[in-house]
Amino acid sequence: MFEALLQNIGEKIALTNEETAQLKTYFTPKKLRKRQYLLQEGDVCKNLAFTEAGLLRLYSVDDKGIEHMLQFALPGWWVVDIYSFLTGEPSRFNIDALEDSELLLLSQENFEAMMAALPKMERYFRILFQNNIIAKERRLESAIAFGAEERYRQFEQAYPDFVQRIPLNLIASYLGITPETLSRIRRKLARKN
Amino acid sequence: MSAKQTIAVIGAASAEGKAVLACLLPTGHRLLLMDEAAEKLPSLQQQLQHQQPRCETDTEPCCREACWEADVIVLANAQPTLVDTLQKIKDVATTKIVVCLGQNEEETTSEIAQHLPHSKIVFLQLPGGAAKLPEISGGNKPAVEAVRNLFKTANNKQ
Repeated sequence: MFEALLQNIGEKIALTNEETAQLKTYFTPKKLRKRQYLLQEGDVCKNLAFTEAGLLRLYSVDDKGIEHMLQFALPGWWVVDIYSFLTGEPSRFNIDALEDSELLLLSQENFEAMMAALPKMERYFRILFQNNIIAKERRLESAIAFGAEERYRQFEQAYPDFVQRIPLNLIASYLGITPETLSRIRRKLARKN
Repeated sequence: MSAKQTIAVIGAASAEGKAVLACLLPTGHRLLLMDEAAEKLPSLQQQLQHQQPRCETDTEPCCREACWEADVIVLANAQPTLVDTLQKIKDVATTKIVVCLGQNEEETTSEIAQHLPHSKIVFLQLPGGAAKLPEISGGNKPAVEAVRNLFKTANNKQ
């Protein structure tokens, strides 16, 4: 139930057995069935969610009803609308399960309580947030400076597991291109290899 | 506006289970039915669906799985096998609200708290006789308030 989380934490900081036992008391184990929501637009995002198993997506829906993928979360990934989580403002995003999923949720209250009780976790989250800023910066550059093919090649290189597991129409949405363009790019790259 | 919650009712096919389901049915929350007598669940689900066609219900034969999936856990008619149930759900009930139904608060508090030290225990006495509203009590005030709100929605929408 905590395998992926403990592995993820263990890569960044070292916890004793007592600390690990205490850590577990702050998390809410939660299962979601495919297509169930963790967060719906208009609600406040009350939890940080860690994916133990399954697959989640964070996305917005525009006024034409078109979905825009912002993030995917495979096992080992965190997902949250950080703005809504920190400010308590209603979210503009949705988070739902693309597969049956197993999550560990951390509420705002327990997030703070955990940091106070286990200060080492501050370091864990600092590293997590640093990595997140870098990833966001790269994604921003990719979106404004690179063409569709280059964007896909970088995505494929950075996240090979995602390409295996996530439906192509959703990857196209994440990259801001049409599914047809993505198919064309993939055919072209396949021919080259 | 608040997202639909999944409420697992353990012992759903018992008299207490059915009584609490009747209160929860109009709330619009998703009801996850679990009972040791799993063969009773399909007809119970059908009956609920008939009463409230728009209500989302699911069945789950395993008590641990049901509690794992739940946001709020209701233990109905758990008395005879209470300790057994608590042991099964212990590690999936962390931080969750666990509603204990129709049980003597003082007698069971320490027992439940011992098995579920990281859950929020709330006691619920269903309306009956003179009482029109469910009586809700417990040591964790925000959890008591949250459960009261669950049932308030039920009353308002009726």
